[in-house]
Amino acid sequence: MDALIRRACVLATIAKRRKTCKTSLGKTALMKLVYIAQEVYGLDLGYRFNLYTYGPYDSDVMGDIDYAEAIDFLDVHYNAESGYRIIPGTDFTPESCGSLPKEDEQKIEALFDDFGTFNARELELRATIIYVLKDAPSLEDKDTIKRVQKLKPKYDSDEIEEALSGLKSTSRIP
Amino acid sequence: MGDTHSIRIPVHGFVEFDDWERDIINHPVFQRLRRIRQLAFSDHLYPGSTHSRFEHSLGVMHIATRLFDTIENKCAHILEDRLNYNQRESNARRLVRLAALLHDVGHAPFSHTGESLMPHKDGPESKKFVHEDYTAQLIQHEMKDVIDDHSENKNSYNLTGKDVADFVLGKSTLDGGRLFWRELVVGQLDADRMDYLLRDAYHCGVTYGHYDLDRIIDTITVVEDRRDDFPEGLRIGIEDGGRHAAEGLILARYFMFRQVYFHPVRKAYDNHAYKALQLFLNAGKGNGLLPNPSSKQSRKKYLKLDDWKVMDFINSEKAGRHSDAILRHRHDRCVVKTREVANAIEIAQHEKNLKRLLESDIEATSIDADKEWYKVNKSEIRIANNDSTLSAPSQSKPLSEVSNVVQKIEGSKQLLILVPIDQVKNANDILQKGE
Repeated sequence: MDALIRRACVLATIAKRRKTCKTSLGKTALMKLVYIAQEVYGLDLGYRFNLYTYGPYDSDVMGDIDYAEAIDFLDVHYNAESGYRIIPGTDFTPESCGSLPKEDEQKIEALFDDFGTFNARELELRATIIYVLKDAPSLEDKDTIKRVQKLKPKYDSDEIEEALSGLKSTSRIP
Repeated sequence: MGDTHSIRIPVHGFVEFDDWERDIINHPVFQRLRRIRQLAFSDHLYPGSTHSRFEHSLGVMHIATRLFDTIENKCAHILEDRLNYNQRESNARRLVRLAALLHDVGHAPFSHTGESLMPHKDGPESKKFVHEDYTAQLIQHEMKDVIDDHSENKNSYNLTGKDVADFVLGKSTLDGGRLFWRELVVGQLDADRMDYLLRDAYHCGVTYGHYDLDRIIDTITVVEDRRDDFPEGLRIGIEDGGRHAAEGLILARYFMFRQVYFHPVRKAYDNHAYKALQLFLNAGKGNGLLPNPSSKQSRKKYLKLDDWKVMDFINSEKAGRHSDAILRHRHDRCVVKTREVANAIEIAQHEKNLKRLLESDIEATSIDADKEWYKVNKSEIRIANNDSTLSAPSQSKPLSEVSNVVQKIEGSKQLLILVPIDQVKNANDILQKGE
């Protein structure tokens, strides 16, 4: 399977799966879910995330969303009040793209078991914590919390602590 | 502060710097950029494009500073209020200037073409190093004498090479303020892109890369970025009055991609450069890869590599048919290409064509726009809804939602097949038979 078609399929599969969670999916949430899928669940899509004011980000994910929209694997709607809403496109069918490798599907399923219902704000916090944990694995929890708060002052330390302990309770987080 | 110096470069005219920055510019690690061409062998297509990473880096520092000063002057109260920014005490302006100046010092010979030959970080399954990893190591170690230990720095700024490297890489040691300023060097509205589009267009002699830089700088501002279901925070954006200048920037990217960066002749020479560099790195005891940036010894070897060194190898005809292509302008030719945005069916057809050619002993190479460093996408530039007041930033919208032109940009997925010039006829016959 071509690498870009695979990535477009992954994006569309996440959009499809998110629909069943009855939680909206915008560009921020999709970016963070892709980040967590790659960095925590080992779904290697070749993205290179680094840190921006809006958390871990790779502009190639945005390019892939544009491409997936162009070939109708995704429908991307924008509303000034609510922002982006992304749903699977009409051409996202097994006939049009071939099947995503089973292993990829399993990783997306595992991602949704742990992160599927978090909203964009919650995902941004968790993605940033994961970024810090990977960047500085030897930090103690209290220092991780301080570092996240320095990066993202909009989250208070209780919220960060709760998210960190939730992440650590899943066996996949270091 | 010391004396002010200047160098005149195309596009911006005089670029000013002080004693400390002059010592950094004169450092051998930075001077090496004079010998790394910005666009590798693109001069085979546009003979004027022989410019180097050296002048580009000066240009990026110049634009980043103009952007920084505009935002600082226009939005000082908002920055104080939201980022605890203190103009007098902050060393953010200096950090932005140094990161902009040094962001490319880690480039390999032939710029992005050489990047594909960087080694894996940690075994064959791990990610590969990228030029930013080399940049970060060189700034922290080989340039320590002109950054950490420089008297001007010690007296006034107390910055370390690690501060600059972390800023370039986006490390978690940054705080919210530095992350905000980082967007001027590595972001959707960054000085890097603003400079290379104008500079590459100038040297290529094309007008595709032109856009209204002065208007972008005049209208740059801070905005509130509301996305999905929550107000995300402070971002760098453009006032509504600069919307068309921002459109111009995105369109310049699109046109430059089509006419310069992904032109089949340029891609053919990128491939010849890549193969020649690989052969160069294979010679002697080499493993075909660039030295790893993690150790001092291999960084020393890396710094000895530049376009001149590899060109010597090519000139001695040691790169086989790739020497021939470069020395006699006998580059591979494109025999088949997909539409600009290929769908799954076209991609499958491309793979079939490639297989057929390879099975017939044609030395075919597949070139994929998706693997390009220069890419086309809608970009996420924020446009202010109204003018920010002194104390409150305006809410904003993405440019792609207020611009029909940008909305239509669909990303890039074009595939080309290149073959050696003396195999073109055979290749065309094989492809025709397969239709």
